[in-house]
Amino acid sequence: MMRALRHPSFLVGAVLSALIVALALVSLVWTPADPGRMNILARLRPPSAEFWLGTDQFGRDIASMLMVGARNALTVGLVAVGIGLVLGLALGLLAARADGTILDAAIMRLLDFVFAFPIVLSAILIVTLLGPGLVEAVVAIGLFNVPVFARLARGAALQVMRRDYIRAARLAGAGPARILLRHVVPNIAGLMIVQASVQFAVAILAEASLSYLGLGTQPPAPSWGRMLSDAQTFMARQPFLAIFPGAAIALAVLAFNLLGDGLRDLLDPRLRERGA
Amino acid sequence: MIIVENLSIRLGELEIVRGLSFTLAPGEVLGLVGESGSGKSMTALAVLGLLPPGMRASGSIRFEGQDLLRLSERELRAVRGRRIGMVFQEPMTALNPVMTIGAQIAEGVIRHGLADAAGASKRALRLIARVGLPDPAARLHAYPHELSGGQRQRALIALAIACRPALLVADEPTSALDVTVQAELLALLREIRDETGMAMLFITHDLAVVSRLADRTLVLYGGRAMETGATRALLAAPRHPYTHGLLAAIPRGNAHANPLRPMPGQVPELDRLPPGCPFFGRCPKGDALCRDVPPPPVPGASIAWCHRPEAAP
Amino acid sequence: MTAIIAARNLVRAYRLPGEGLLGRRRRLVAVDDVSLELDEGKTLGIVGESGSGKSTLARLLVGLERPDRGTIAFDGATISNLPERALRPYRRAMQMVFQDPFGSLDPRMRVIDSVAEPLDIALPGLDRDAREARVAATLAEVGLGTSALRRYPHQFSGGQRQRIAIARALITGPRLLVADEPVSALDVSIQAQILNLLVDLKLARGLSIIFISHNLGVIRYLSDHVAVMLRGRIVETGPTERVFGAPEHPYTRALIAAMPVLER
Repeated sequence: MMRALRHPSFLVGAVLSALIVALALVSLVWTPADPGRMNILARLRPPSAEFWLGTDQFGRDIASMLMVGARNALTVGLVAVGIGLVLGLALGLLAARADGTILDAAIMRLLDFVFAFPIVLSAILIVTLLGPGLVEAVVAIGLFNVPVFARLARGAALQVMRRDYIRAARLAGAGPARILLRHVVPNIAGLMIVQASVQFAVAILAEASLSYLGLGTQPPAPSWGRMLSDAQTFMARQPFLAIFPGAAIALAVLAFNLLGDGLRDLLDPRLRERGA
Repeated sequence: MIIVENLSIRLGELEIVRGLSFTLAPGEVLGLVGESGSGKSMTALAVLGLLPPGMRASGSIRFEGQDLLRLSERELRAVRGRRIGMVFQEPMTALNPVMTIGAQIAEGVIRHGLADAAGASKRALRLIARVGLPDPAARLHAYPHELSGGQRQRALIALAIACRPALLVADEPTSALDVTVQAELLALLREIRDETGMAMLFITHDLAVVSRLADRTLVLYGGRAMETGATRALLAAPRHPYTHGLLAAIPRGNAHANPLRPMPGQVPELDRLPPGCPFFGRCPKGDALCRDVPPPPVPGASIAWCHRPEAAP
Repeated sequence: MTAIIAARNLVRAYRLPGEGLLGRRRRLVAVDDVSLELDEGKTLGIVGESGSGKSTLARLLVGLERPDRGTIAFDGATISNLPERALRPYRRAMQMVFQDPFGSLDPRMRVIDSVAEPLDIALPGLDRDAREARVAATLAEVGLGTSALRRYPHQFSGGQRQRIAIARALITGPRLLVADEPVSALDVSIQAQILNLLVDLKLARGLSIIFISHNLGVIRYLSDHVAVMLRGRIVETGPTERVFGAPEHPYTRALIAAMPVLER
């Protein structure tokens, strides 16, 4: 625990992530103003005491929209990473268990095929097939997270399954399910958590990109990506309109990447042994 | 030729090696013997100026008129590989996988300005033949993965002696190998020593290996010297209870006929050593004095750092 | 008297990746027509150098791998053709100790759970106190106190971990223990402790042991009988003192000659 506090990238990542989560939670009960309320008289205002981060072209309060947008971003991250993690882990373990067989090859080649498409491009593909919308976007991002987790899970599981303690468990009479759940999953969980926080950042960025292109979150629900795209028109008149959502996206991506980096170091058993 | 005085190695608060002194004369083999945590490998790395980052060495290591601990990294590079050669346990990691054996041997010779490319290549061929690799001309162009474990270790020895060093530091060079290969390599090292007159600092956990190769032996435990002396005398009549215990732990014959009497307890953790003798707690003779006061060197047939040494026979 | 374990003409081959993409796949015969027998309560030492197939043989004997040909009988019953499920009752009676004490315990499991795992599977209904008592008793048998129960493997030294691994192997009361280089990764002083522990267990429990090592000294120390392996085959076998005193096969003689003996 003390080591966690001394790890700079983990510390910064954790504090920033916690801040974003806190803002999202607070937005459930309170925002400086109603993020949906338009005010024709107060359009494109610069930051002030009344409008902390200014207003947009409809006079909506940017600070409030960003807070609600954080909720949106986190939900997208959670669901997309959840889909990717659960399906990816299941497929990865299945492939590892079938190591070297046709099933393993079939799973991995299918995933390679999916992985060959860049995440945003493939999400665009899916969204154009299913129609635009937040749910469609999240599912698309989630599906394209699957190969990332599956490859990682398979590789790590294969390594764990070669260890003698797996052999010992088999000699103890443990069946495949027990070996996977009691021995393999706990030993690869650290890696998966690290990857999850990195993919969380990727998912937030992907959703922002899709919304920027009008394929993700639909109006009037606030989304950082759409705020950025709306701001484009007024860039010359009010640059802060683009700066704040842009900064929010960058900060969130940075926060979860740092968190992932820090977790990687902290969960590394070799480093942990030294600390113990 | 090399005089190590009061060598201590620290990692933060932890004293990995404390107050170690030893000397080596040309042509002499000193066996540095110890279990894990004894500090034997760190001592070897200190001599080579290759301690891992964070570790600090104090005291002095005098070699050919210089104190190796006072040299800059640049100055060390001129000594290391040139005047001091090294052989490690794991030859696969010590050899560059993408360079041929011949090129690796020649590289050092050229870098230290001992020969031009043609001369270095000739020398590499001679060395590969000398260390007993079959078909030397072909091995010159072989990559490390094309050799067996024992052959790699031979190649590494060729690499280590390529610049005719005055001192060879060998850290468990035969421990990962099969016994038949191990015996051949020990014989090779002995021959090379006899031919070149180089000194050898030989690090091992295996007393049997030491008995076959080392003129003198220094036994380490918990980072401190326990006993040192002529190998034959030291093994014939160990004066330190730890040396005695190490010898008693080697199986001889069958359990029914010659049961072992292993020393109790665990290999020490450096942060839990008593202020006195590190062997206190496992030593059958240990008392309050041993616990509290570091034992002085007691001369005799060997030198034992012990408050209760065996009397010389 | 039937042997506790008897192997007949075991063969196990692996397919190696070929040279390059289109290269022919090579076959490595790791265990080549090996037969052996062990009487109850005795220790058989299997000695060989790297690549001799001794570890593969160990895994075949305990059923971690299946032989391509040949049969293994445990206490008179053929087990080498049983499906995994039918093999499980035999698991309790045959256990194994591995070489690397750092790889043989799940780093994420407390000692009590690692040691109790065979018990949890064999007797799923066992209540917590009884379970803990049995783990504690078994740990005591290998020389570890109850303070070990709630700790994790990384908090122990190599020798202590090997004791924990032995406790796990013993907890279901096996009749046969296969030990694959169990002391090779340990310091000399700790190695002697584990060797003596195995001797004590053999006497106290009437345990039959197959002890695999490259180290002739420890083989000689523990074994009643010795089998010498070379390239997948057993080239010589016999009572320990006969094999060491009057080796017949040239390879055995070469091994004994190369054995690092203390000269003093």
